[in-house]
Amino acid sequence: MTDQAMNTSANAASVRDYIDLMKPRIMMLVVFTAAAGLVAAPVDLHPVTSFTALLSVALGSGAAGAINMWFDADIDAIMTRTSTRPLPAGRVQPADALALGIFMSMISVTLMTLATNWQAGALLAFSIFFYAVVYTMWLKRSTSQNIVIGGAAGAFPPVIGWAAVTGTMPMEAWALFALTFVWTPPHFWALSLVANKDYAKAGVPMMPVVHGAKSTRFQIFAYTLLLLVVSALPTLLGTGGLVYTVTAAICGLVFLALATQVFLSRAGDADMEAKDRKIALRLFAFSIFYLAALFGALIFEHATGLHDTLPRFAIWMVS
Amino acid sequence: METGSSEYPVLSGEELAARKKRNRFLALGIIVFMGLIFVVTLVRMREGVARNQDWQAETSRGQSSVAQSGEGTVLVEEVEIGDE
Repeated sequence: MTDQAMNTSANAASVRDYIDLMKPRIMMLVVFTAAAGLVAAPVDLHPVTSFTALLSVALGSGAAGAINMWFDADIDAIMTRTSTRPLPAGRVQPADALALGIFMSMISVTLMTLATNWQAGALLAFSIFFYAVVYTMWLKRSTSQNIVIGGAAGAFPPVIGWAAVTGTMPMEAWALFALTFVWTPPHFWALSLVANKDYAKAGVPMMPVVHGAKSTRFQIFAYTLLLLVVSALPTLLGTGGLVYTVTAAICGLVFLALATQVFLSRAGDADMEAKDRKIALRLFAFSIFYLAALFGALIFEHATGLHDTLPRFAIWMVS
Repeated sequence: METGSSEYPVLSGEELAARKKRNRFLALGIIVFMGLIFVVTLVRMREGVARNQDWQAETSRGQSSVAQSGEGTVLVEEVEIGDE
């Protein structure tokens, strides 16, 4: 695309293009997990303050997404899945995406700090930095453990939500962090088994590209087992009540069944068939539902008061 | 897009319409941001006032019990320890 053609289409950029820069689907999941931390914390927050805290998390997530798209525009253009994004498609100019990211980072952190406390503001700033710099600029192109370590960026929101309410980050909040952190590898690797040719073409060292599909399928299975253990932590610490525990147990077993199917399949292999591809994509889709269901259960039982009325199975009450 | 004699790009009708939409959205964003800062300030000030009133009530309760007993500073410490 010539510079003039790019400038022409960039001048016609719609509001939708700028919203796409912020990765709205990731933003929704991030806001949802932050809301869980906010609701599960043992103190009530004013509705206006709660709304502002969640808006700050959404803006922060969007800011990190915009910086990620700015930095990754070159590899996004190579990969089929991402080639239609606003930057590689030439609908938005790179400098505009970067400016949006930096400006929204400042707005989100300022808003969070003013509305709640400096602890939540600082953690939000750190999570933006972690995603935009540590994951995007460093880990993503240098190690096959990119999404394992980088997953921390997406796991911070429940802790930010908790800190926004209490000004502290206790063990219960970090248990919610661990849940998202351990969930990230099987979630992303299920997708990368299907899109590994794209990643290889772009030179991104995703697990299937570097260590092969067989090793990835095994690691998906291993992380799923670990996820089952970690998903019990909110129950054991008293954050999750009966609703959460039953949801985590049922969804965990389904997750394990799907991960076992992936482990036994040939998903990601060169001779992968359509059914193997379907199995991997089914796990990817269910993993999104899994996280939404577990955090949804937490929000539901805390918001309705069921958490206090139904029996709990906590064996280690920290706070 | 063409470059006019003034060196500024001459935008087409479609580009002008897109810019107008973006500007409207930005204006809306700024207004919402200002409104939010205003409301958050009110909420936080109210919380601060309530906290201050609680603190004053607690302090005056402590002082009145000291005045009634007439035993001075030693009792102030006892009251505070008792409250904890």
